[in-house]
Amino acid sequence: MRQLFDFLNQLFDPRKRPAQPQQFSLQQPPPPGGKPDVTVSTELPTADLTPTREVQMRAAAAERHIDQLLNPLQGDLTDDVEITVERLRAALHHRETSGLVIRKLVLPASPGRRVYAVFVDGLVDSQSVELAIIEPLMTQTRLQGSLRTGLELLRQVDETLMPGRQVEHVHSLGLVISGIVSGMCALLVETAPGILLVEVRKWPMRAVERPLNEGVLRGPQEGFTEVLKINTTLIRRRLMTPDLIFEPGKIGRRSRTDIAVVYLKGLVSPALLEEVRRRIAHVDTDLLLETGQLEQLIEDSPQGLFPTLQATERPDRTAAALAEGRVAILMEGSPLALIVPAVLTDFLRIPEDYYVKWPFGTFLRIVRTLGLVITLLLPALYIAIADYHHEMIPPALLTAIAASREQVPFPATLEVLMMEVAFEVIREGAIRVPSQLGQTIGIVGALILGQAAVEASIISPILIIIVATTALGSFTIPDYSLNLVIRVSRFVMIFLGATLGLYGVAIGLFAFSVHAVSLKSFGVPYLAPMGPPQPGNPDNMLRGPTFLLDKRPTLARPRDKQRQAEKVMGWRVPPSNNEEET
Amino acid sequence: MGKQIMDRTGAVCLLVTILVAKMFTPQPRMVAEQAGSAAWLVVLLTGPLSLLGYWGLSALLVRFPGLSIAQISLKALGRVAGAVVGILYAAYFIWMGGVMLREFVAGFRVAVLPSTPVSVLAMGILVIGLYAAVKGPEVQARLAAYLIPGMAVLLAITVVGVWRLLDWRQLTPVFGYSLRNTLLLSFPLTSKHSEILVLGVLAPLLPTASVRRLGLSALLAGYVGQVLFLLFLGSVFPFPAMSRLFYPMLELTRMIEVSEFIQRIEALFIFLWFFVAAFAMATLITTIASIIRDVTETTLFNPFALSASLLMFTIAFIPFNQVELMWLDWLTLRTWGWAFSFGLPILTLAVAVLRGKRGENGETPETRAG
Repeated sequence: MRQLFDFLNQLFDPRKRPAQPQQFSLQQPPPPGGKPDVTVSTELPTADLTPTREVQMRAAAAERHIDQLLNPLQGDLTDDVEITVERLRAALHHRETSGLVIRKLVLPASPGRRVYAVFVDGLVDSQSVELAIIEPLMTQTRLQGSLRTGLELLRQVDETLMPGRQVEHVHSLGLVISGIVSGMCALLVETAPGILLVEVRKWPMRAVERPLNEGVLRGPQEGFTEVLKINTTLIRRRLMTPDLIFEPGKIGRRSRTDIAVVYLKGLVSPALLEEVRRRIAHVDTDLLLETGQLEQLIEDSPQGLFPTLQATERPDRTAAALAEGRVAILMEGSPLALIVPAVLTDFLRIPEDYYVKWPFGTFLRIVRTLGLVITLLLPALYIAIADYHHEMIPPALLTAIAASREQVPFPATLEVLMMEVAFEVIREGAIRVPSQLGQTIGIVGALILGQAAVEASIISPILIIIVATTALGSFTIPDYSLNLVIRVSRFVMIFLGATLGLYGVAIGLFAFSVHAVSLKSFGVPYLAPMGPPQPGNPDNMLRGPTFLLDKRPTLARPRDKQRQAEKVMGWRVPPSNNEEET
Repeated sequence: MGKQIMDRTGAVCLLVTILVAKMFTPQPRMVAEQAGSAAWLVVLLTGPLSLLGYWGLSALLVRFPGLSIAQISLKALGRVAGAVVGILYAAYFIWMGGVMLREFVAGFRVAVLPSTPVSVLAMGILVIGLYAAVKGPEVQARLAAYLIPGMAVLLAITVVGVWRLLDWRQLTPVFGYSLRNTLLLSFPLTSKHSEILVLGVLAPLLPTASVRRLGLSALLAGYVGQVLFLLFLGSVFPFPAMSRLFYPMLELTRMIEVSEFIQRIEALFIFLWFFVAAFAMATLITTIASIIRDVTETTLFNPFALSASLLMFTIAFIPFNQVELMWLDWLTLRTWGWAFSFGLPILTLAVAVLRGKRGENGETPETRAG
């Protein structure tokens, strides 16, 4: 039994196996020589941030599964390059698909020895293939020494001809196929053991642009793009510390999407990091195209309404979250980073709150919270009060409302529903059409349609005010996911208000509260830091002055709680007499 | 429902909410009917007695650390007697839930929805209470932590709004109908604090060392809250009027004068009222289902919660009208509630001491602390 355990231990624990390239693992590739390539300078004790055995076993199983999927022709690579090329042709469906290029070269320095370059046209930079691979191989003026064995030749090619390229020496056909379909060029040398994978990717990509949905007036105007490398650079530019870790990994059995788990070593809670790794490692799906899909697979309550992972397109917000000890997840092909844990107040904040003076930051937060409450409750309250609780309306206002509704043939509920549905249609239409048309649709829908409806006595003017205020309120909610929750819940509230008046609205509000209170984001209660309260944290619903934000929020249980010096404005401290003398 | 660990502040808030939920029912009227202007004094006098009763409950919970009141009964009294006592607890809470449900919904009907059937209102509150119950006590505790400040703010608004009507002379005669009547009433009225028995269900979710202190804090806060409320109510309404008002809290909010423009805002208090009512129902359903689960020694919770809700719904419609409802409430819950909440735990404690029964590891937090 013991021997069996040891065998399994060796089999599944990558640290006890011969070094292999990591394909589906969130583990940081071990640095050469077993030592960190960068000296980590931190005053904190270094926590054990290596993935647990469960995560490692899961990753290894996934790796084997992917190998089986990608490599129908199991077995080690042979020295016979022709057989290997045939295997590649079969695995990559060369006869049935277009784009796969297999170029055969004969090395002049070693007459008769063949070399094959295999890549997918369109995924690689053609110029790089020509200049960095084909041309040096054909001229090979720099090749020196003995080239009798394939291994020597392979080493020479790697070290001499492609010094500026990232080159991997692999021995598994599955890894070769995986590399080729992800935009690398495979170099097969006759009689050489293994294959070289040369990094020559060049994909069409969007430039760094302004964030579309998280605009600020004051603050950086850069947003993430669909390219993982660019996104990592955008974060690195804001956190130039060696403690910033990007743990690479792949996810999706067929999509093989690159992801990166980002955190600050020495700050992140090991338990949180391990939980993030564990959840990602357990995701077993074919295709992941966007972080939104991953979000739904790793959140605490997949059936819950509220978003419990924060999706952001802002590098500055991501950097700030990392500096609070949170973890970010980046994915190739998605311009949105996921931040965990995330609580309700995070979805009502924007980075600009911190870039302006604290009274204004607080004011903006109150405005947004008010916007949320208005969006959720105003139409329902209007119906409830107008239909059930007239006594609450002051007589003068009641007369005005009654007069405005005199000609309207519909009950208030139907009026509200018609207008709310019409508004949602206009909003959806304006988003989906080209941007030039979007404004026109908004104007036509909101102004002309509304005006016409009032003049035709289909809708009362007071209702236009209610619906317009509700719409404006919804625009103040900065997070799209939360916005959707509130907009959809509004219809439930309208139904309850129309059925049972304020009693119905109270039912809806209670259910809404219970649901929100019951949620957790990676173990953190969703309504924290208000409940349970976080004493001593002035950055809750209101924002305290910057000079008081010396402690990090404890939501993510960061290992270093001090964010800045208690006397952060040291220049205001009067110098002592000795200092004056010096 | 899995094992949860409850926040201590949340636990206290939960207990306080369930203890003061009666403010929104006709119970202040009942006390005023019996005690006249000394309504507040009667409740004040219940303090020492309920503390004595609480000592028995807390001593029992400390003697059997990590166990609920129903599990303790099984362990201390044996399977048969323990099960009987557990079922008595559950029956008491089911009855209480039914009566309170009817009191709440009758009030809502009077206040905001006069033409809606009571059964519809009861259904609404029970469904939402069941939803909160299924979410578990931890969620309820966190919700209570929001509810208590909200309740405090709205009560403060009420106090400020009707301050102009305060007349402390209405609290005289201090001893009400007679000193003897006041003193005699105070004994059965310790039942006003009988909801503290919910602590017996929450105990396994709390650190044993702090159970006694948590319960005491909640009991004292609820006690002070009820005394102050009756003091305030008695100084606004003369006792003959108070003993005729079905829902004194509602009448208080009706008397708030904001301005000439906005004249009536009592419907806004529906939110607080509803939240307290739904919360009370959720806590009672949780308590009942937990007790039955522990007595039957199963892991089921949701089926028992659903059954408890249905039973409460049925009991709520036993009284024919409001007067009968109050009579039943007084006759059962307020007269004999102490026997269930304090009497049974003390009895169980006595038997446990006589039989030498203790918790699993035979030690209490006190002995562990040395």
